Amino acid sequence: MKKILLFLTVILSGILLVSCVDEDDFDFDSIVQTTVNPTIAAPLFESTIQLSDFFNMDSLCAQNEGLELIGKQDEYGEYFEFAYRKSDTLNVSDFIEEIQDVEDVSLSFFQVNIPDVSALAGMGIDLGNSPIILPDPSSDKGDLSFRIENPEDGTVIDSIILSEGKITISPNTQLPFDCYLELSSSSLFSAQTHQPFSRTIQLSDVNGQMSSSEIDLSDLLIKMKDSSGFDDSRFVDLRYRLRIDLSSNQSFTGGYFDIGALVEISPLKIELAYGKLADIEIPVTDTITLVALSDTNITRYIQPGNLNLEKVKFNLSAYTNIGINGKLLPHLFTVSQNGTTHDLLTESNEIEFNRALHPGDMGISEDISLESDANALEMLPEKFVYDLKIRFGSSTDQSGLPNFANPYNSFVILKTLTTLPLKLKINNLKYEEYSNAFEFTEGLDYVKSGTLKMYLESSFPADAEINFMLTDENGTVFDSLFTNAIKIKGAPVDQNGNILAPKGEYVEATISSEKYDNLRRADKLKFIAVLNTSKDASGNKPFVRFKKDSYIKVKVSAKVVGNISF
Amino acid sequence: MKKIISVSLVLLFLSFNAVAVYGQTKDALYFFKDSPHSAALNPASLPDNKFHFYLGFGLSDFRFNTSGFTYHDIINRHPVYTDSLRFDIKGLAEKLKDNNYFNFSYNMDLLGFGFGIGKNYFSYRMYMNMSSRFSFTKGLFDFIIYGTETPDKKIALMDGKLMDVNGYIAHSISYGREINDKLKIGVGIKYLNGLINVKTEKADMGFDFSNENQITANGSVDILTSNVFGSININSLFDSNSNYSFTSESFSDIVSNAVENKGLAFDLGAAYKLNDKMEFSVSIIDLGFINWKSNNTRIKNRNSSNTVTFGGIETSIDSISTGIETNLNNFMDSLSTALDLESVKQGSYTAALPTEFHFGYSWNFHSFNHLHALLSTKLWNSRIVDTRLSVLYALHTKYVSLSVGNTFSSNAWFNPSAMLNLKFGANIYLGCSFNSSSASFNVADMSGFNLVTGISFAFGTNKHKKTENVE
Repeated sequence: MKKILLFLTVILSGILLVSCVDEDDFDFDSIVQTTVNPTIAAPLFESTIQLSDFFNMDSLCAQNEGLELIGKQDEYGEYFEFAYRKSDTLNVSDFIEEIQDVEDVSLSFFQVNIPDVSALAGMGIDLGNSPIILPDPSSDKGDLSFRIENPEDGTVIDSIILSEGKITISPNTQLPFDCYLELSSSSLFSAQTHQPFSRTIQLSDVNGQMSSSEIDLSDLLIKMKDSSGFDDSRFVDLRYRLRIDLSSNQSFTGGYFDIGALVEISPLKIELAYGKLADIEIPVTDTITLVALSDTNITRYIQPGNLNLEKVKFNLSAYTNIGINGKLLPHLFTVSQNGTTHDLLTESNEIEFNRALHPGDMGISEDISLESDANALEMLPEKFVYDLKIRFGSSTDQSGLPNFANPYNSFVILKTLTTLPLKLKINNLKYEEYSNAFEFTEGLDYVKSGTLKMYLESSFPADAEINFMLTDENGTVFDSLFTNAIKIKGAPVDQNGNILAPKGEYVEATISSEKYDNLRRADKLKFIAVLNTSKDASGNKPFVRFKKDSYIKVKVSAKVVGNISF
Repeated sequence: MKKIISVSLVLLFLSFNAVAVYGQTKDALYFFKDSPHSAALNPASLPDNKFHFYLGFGLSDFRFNTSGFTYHDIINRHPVYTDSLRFDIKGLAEKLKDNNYFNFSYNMDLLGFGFGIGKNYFSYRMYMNMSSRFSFTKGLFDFIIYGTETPDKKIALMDGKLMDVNGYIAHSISYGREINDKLKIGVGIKYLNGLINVKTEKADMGFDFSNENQITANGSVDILTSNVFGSININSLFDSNSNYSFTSESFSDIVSNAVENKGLAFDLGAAYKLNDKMEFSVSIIDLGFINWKSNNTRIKNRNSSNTVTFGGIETSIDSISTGIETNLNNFMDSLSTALDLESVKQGSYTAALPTEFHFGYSWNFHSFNHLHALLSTKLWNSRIVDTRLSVLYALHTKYVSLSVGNTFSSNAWFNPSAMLNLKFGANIYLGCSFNSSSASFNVADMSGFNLVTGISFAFGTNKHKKTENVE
């Protein structure tokens, strides 16, 4: 009986266990889909938009010779400014350089009656001390003065120093004696010693007429003066006496001789001229092609009107050796790509600069400053044109010193420094950049929802509104990633436009499933950032001091809620 | 009658197999002194019979259990659509601990005999033992459910253990002696031939999401393997020229290899009677090692740098998508490189056997009725595993021994078991048990099962049993 009970116990235990199987638990056909929604948070990318991305100052400087980017500091803080330096040496050649037509002088001095010298010598007379002098020493010297006509340009020469010029005296006599022409002048002086000019020329000897003699006028100072017969001051005074040495031919028995000479004056080349020199105007023109400004890398981002620059400054310095007062008449303008010109200086300016007080001196005029708004540059011109005029005019000279000029060596050194401080306002500057659409969007099939977590840091003193536009294969925008553009506060600035500190903030944006669908459709993503410079604490929008390393950092991580079914 | 019982038992055995029930049945065998296999768990447990032997199917012990999760933790009734089932990933993840595992083990006694001489009992036993343990973390499931937003912002895909496998054939000689009326002791010595060993030295893999600016992944694997069946060759898992293969050996080589993997182990046991009704016992089983030499291979990281970070990419606005894609691809490439594995030849190494410790208490509270308690644990590769307490009621009669009870463990507190030994010259064992984390007998709530079957032949009555009977 016990064995039967035991057997039954065992059997019943087995049946009990088997009966504990619920077949429905193993009905795998009834398994329904299970969905889990894991959240995957992962850093995606970090991108930095720098000022240089659309306004590369270094590149701009590299492409324009003479253009520099300089760090500056004023009482309100640091800033950068573009500086364009230019130095021109202008040779002024419009002053009278040469006096061409000086009328020759043909002189028949005298008919001289020479006594029987042999007889006189036989009488024991010392002929060496008894020359014949004409005109007689008791009377005035003979006049060989010649006239120099002033140019018709109004120049009135008071005096000149010649670099080249001569007087050729060709004797015309058969006198068989040593005959000398003694010249002196109250107009001619040594330019070096200021000693009056005097020179003796032999016209004949015992054999008769001599060849021509030349008097070099170079390095002589010629002071124009009146002549007794004319009422003007255009004469070069030249006086003479003839001296006939009777002892030179003691065998001469007497006779009449004519003594004459032709005085020819070559063109006179002027080294330095004093007087009332003509008013002259010298154009100084230069065109700078602003290659970088017209570069597509800039024009694709910056449109005319996006930038509002505080000012543009011009600093002029002039150096000249001309002893005449000068004026600078600047005309600075830009030329845009369509040929439109815009004046940089809204007011006409006449800038006087200092003359050289004395020959060899330098008239120096430095730090002549002009300032203007920079509207013409804000138009992103293609060219920047210097169209200056330098005007010399003796009438304006108040110094009391004689005016002078070196016709062959007159110059003006003109140095200009154009500076453009990088203090500006940005108005709706739109930065756009294309990126290929995500190619791994297949993975988005398993996305339920998502959030983009962005850390945005800006040392850029400009508020920015950013968004990603979704474009199709034709480039047509059909949606944006964010329904509303994300606004990034620019780095705060003080009332002087100094950046106080980079501004960082976290922004989260939820991406709807519809956006994911559109992301899949998108051919490209167009990143857009619209920039406007920051306001100060008072709400005013000062000109902001930009730094070339200004940046907006976008650090994006994604938090995606998956939708995985199995 | 015997035929009916036999057929019924076979049917019962088959039905158990069919539903895969589980338990700690073998714990009950510890107290079945009418079975010669009791000595396998404590050499101081002297068989009741004077002589025993078995051949081929002496004892088969198959065990599978998890660290506590059940079928219902994976697939269960949908809470809304109650006529449907669902994969309950979240429920499973909540159920899982930081470290989880599957255990498979199989022990088969192939040949054994023993005899008692006076107060002494000698026995020989040849058996095959296979033990395996596969560990995993809940990190993978946390990742599926929470993604990177796990509560502690990191996940571990491996917990350092990964897998341990040990298989050998043992020749055991045991000796037990009744020292006096109260004390019995036993020792056993085993000569082992290793078949397969997998020893995880290091297996760490995980992701760290705590830094919001980067994801850090690391993976470090170092596994020693040895087996008699063939060689493992891995040059890469992820490389474009990756190649991994297993080259099997001929049977004669397998035998030669097994001979090379020599090992030695000891069993120690003692039993002390407090009085006529109560007895304490203790045993240490498989205290030993195997020196592995056959086809030794170390599977390790192919590259020295095993840490990869993904930190987003610095890119210009116009290259965002390509930049991210490139960065992601680079990260995956780096991850593949960092986690890539290769096999290298490994010299001989020694691995300790999983050593079992048993502490038993037995109370014969009335006639044939007994109450048993057994505290067991296992030391494997420096880790304590599978600690449990079995409390059993047992009926020990002349022809039948029956035990039912429950095993308590940290993985599951409801682990009922039953063990039956029919004794009529031949001992026929049948036992089964299962684990359940609830008080349900539904197999879908079971986290493991244990099935013990076997047959041995025992004759005569041993001296100590005679003494007990006389008493």
